[in-house]
This record gives sequence, C-alpha cells and structure tokens, in this order.
Amino acid sequence: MDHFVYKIDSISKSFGALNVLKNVTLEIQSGSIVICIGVNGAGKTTFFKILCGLLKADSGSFYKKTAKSSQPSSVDVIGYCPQEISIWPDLTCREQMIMVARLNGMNASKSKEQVNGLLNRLQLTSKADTLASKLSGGMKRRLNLGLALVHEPEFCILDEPLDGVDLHGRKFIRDYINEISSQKKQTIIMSTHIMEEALYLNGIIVLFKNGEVIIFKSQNEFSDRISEDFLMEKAI
Amino acid sequence: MIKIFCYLRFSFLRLIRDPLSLGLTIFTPPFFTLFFWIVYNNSTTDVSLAVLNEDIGVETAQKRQYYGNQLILLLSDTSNINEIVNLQLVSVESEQEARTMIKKGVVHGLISVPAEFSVKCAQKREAVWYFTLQKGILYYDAVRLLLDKCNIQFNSILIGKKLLVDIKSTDFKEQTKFSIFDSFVPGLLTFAVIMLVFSVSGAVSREIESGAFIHLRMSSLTPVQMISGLSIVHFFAGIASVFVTLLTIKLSGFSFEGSFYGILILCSLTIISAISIGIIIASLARSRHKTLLASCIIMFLFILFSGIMFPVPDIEVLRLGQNTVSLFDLLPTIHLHSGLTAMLFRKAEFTDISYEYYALIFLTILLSAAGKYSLKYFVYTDS
Repeated sequence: MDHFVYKIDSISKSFGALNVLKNVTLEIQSGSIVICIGVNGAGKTTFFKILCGLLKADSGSFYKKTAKSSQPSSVDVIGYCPQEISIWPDLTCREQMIMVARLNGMNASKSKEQVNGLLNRLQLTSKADTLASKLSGGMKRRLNLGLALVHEPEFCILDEPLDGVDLHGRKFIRDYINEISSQKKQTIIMSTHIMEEALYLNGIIVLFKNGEVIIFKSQNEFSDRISEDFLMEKAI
Repeated sequence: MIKIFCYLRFSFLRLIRDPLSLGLTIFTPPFFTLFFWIVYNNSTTDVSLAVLNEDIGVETAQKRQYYGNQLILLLSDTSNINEIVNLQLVSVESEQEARTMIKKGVVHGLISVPAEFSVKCAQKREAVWYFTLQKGILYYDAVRLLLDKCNIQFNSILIGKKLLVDIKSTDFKEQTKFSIFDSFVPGLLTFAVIMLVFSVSGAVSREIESGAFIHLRMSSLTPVQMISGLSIVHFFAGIASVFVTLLTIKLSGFSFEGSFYGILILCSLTIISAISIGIIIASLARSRHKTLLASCIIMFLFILFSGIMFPVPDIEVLRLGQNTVSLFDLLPTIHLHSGLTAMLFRKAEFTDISYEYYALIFLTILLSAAGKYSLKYFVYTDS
C-alpha cells in the first residue's frame, strides 16, 4: 500500500446556532491510529460522518496526498463502524459480511477468505451462520465492527467500537486494530470514552472540546499532560 | 451487474426469511378472491332502469306491429337468460324525466327505443335501441352483458339469425354464464399489485431503520443498482401474487377471453410503478411506523380512485389530442383496472386500450425516476 497523508482541512459544521465543529484541521499518516476522545456531544460523531461523506460540512475538505505528488485525491474506500448497531437482522453474520465485501468490489474467493479470517478474529466463527437478530449485544457490536473492516478499507472510521464488548473481546479487538494498522497499513480513526483504550492503542490522541480539537502526538505526551486537574479542566 | 446480483441475492434471502410479509403479499389477493367468490358467486341484485319507448309501430298486412313493445316485454322477464341481475323496468315519458330519476337514484339507467324502430325491423334494415347506464353502478358489466344477451335473443326470435337489431355497444364478452363475482376480477388483480407498495416500502424502511443501510451508502453500490436489485426480487413476488390470484380466479370458474400476455404486460408495468411508489414512501418516511401509515393512505387512494370500488370523478386537467387526461389518470392503478376490464369483458386488443398502455409506460418511467431521486436525495445524502 502506498504511503499517504490524509488531510482534514478546516472542517466546520453548525446546526442552526450551534457550532459543532470549528475549523478542525488534522493530518494523519497512512497506517496510523487516531483516537478521538471527548464528552458526549463534543462533535466526534458529526466529524466522523463528515469524513465518511454521510454529512456535508459547511466548509473545509478531506483528501489524501502521496509523498511524491502534491495533487490531492479523494479517499475512496472508507470503512465506517457507526456508534449504533447497524446490521441486517435477517441475514447471518457470514452473509452480511460477504455482501459488504462483494459490494465494495472484493471478488468471491477473496471475500470468502477475508470473511472467515475476520469472523475468527472477532470470535464470531461459532455464530457465523446464525441470524444477526439472534446474537447477543456484544456479538452484534463485533459484527458491526466487522462490517466496517471486511473489505479492507484504506481508511477506517470506528465510532465507539468497543462499547458493549466484554473485557476479553475488547483485548482481541484492540490487538486486531493495532495489527491492521501496523501490518496492513490501514489508517484507523476511532472514538472512545475509555481512557485505558486510548492509552493501549498505539496512536495519536485527539481531544474534542467545544467544537475544537487538541492534538497529542503520542501517548506519552497525553499521559504527561493528562493529570486529574487537566481532565477536570478540559472536561473529558 | 455483479453488485446488482449480489444485492438481489441477499434481498431475496431477506424476503424469504420474512415469511409473514411474503405470505401476505402473495396470498392476500387470492384469499380475497376466494372470499369474494364465496360471497358473490350466487348472489342476485335488482337493477332499476327507466324505459322510454317512443316506437310508433309499423303497419303490416295483418295488424300494426310494435317491435319496441316486444323488446321491452323480453327485457321485463330475463330470468331465462340470467339469474343474477333482475331488471326492474320503469316506464317514463321523456328523457328529461329519466335523467331526473337517475339523479335522484330511483333508477340506474335508461333504455330508449326510437320512433322508427319497428319500421326498420319490418323492413329488415338495421335498427338500433339505446341504453345509458349510470357508470360505476355495482354489477355494471353484468347489466351490460344481460342487455346484450337480450338483444341477441330478440334478434333470433323476431328477425332471424342475422343480427339486424343492434344496441349501442355490442363489443361485450360473450360468456355462457356471468357471475357477479366476475365483475370484481379486475379489481382483485389490481389489489394484488397494490399490495406490493406495502412489501417494498416495508423492506426499504426496515433496512433504513436497522441502520444497515449505512453500509450500502458507504459501499460503491449506487441508488440505481440498489433499486434494480430490490426491484427484481419484489417484481417476481408481485408476479407470483398476480399468478396465484389468476389461478384462484380461474379455479373459481372465470373464463379468460382476453390476451394473457396483455394482462401480464399491464400487471408488470403497474408492479414496477408500485415498487417505485414503495421506494418513494420509504425514502420520505424512513421509519417503519410512518411507512405503514403512508402506505395505507396510498392504498386507500388507489382503491377509492381507481374505479375498483367507486366511480371515478372525471376531473379534466389537460387534453392530449382526442384523449382527455383526468386528475386520477395520475394513478397507475386506474389504467390497470380499466385496461383489465376492457380486456377481460370486451376482448379489447392493444389498439383498443393503447391509452392505458401508454399512460402506464409513462407513469412507470416517471415513478421509477422519482423513486431513484427520492432514494438518492433523502436516504443516500443527508443534508
């Protein structure tokens, strides 16, 4: 996979008088992980939907550039794991993952292989041929995540993917996210409310507050500055 | 194409995994067909008609002949021809009197015999008697068929085998037996198509409400590809519903005279329109609850203003050549119903109902485009 720089350039969005995002600017290297944190209503989900193209920004743009060329290009293959469980209740785990993979242009044999691997990583192999409506809440969450990752998107947007997943499952998912980022060079941008997750994943931490962002280049920087007082002041 | 078939395959799986919805879509119309057959197959009805007999008679060698009177006498007792419609004849002095009675609901139509009727009959010249039936009366087609049969009998008794006496329209289906149930057949087939609005709008809104639609939006599946995959699955469900309804109608003793392919083309066009309407409803309503309410409104609109149950008011909106486009011509079901009625009862050919065909083709294209744009702008793109 080529090395890209994803540029989020001065994105703003308001709903009526409420300014949800104010000139959010961010630069992400391909294969890196960005963890977004912030209180409820800080604008994380709005930000993600704009990156996905599900919502139009009032201003700003999102594009990628290679190191060789200064010509910006659009980010085409995006995987999105919404905050709400978004699955087909009347299809099995395998069926819906294959459908999403095929609809994103993956061929039949590759999609079969990819789905089997992902089901295994998400610990859903035993439930592969079970209708999604019959899964437990945590399993549905994992399937939700699987649908975002099954077609190996270059840019993955995961909105609170670990919510509702048990501790054991979380560890597997965190390891998997680290793995696809480092080995497959997929870029991950995700949100979480759990500080532990933010520190466990090897990435940049972005704090959303009042529509603006504060960027911590590394976990160390984040750990150093994130004292109890800071948390109170920045209202995480 | 691969994406269409991929989505089609999984749409089909989703459809068959909801057997209640599929069953209701396919088997509700035949169930109603059976119900209507049980209730109406042997029922009888009284239909009152005003009679304006202006026949002045004709002088023959023996005596003065009044062929008009003999025709009225034949019409007054039709029990040997038909046991379903009992004609109640009310004599009137003028057409104005008859029209007043029709307005008041005392009679449902007028039979008039012109002054020179007997003269023409005696001279073996072509004679004509007229009838005007209030459109939309229950068993309209049964009454028309009965009058036609009376005319044939009148010809054979008084004139001979050659048909010299004519009524205003003679292009009726000649059936040995016409049951009241038969007059409901076009409506029941139209109902089979209307049911699709529910299943399609339900399927799309369920997909939107489950949130899974977001994965389709994120993929490279375009609205046209999505609609194609979805439409093919529901098209065949609609055709299955029409076939099962036709089979039930056939088993109930109805004799099909019109072109089977003609019926299929009319139904297919309307099925595509119904699918598009379902997509428009789901795109605008977006939740299953609202979709159900909106689909009910559309269903009542179709049933009430397509001529299935009540006469359709003729509200002219524009004129295209010789054809007048009425407000309710905007409903595809009105063309399906009138096309089926013409085909099943009057053996209409393509040229006889070309207006219905062209109107359905136009509406199908229009609604398909509207379906595509509503899905694209209300579901695929958030503002």
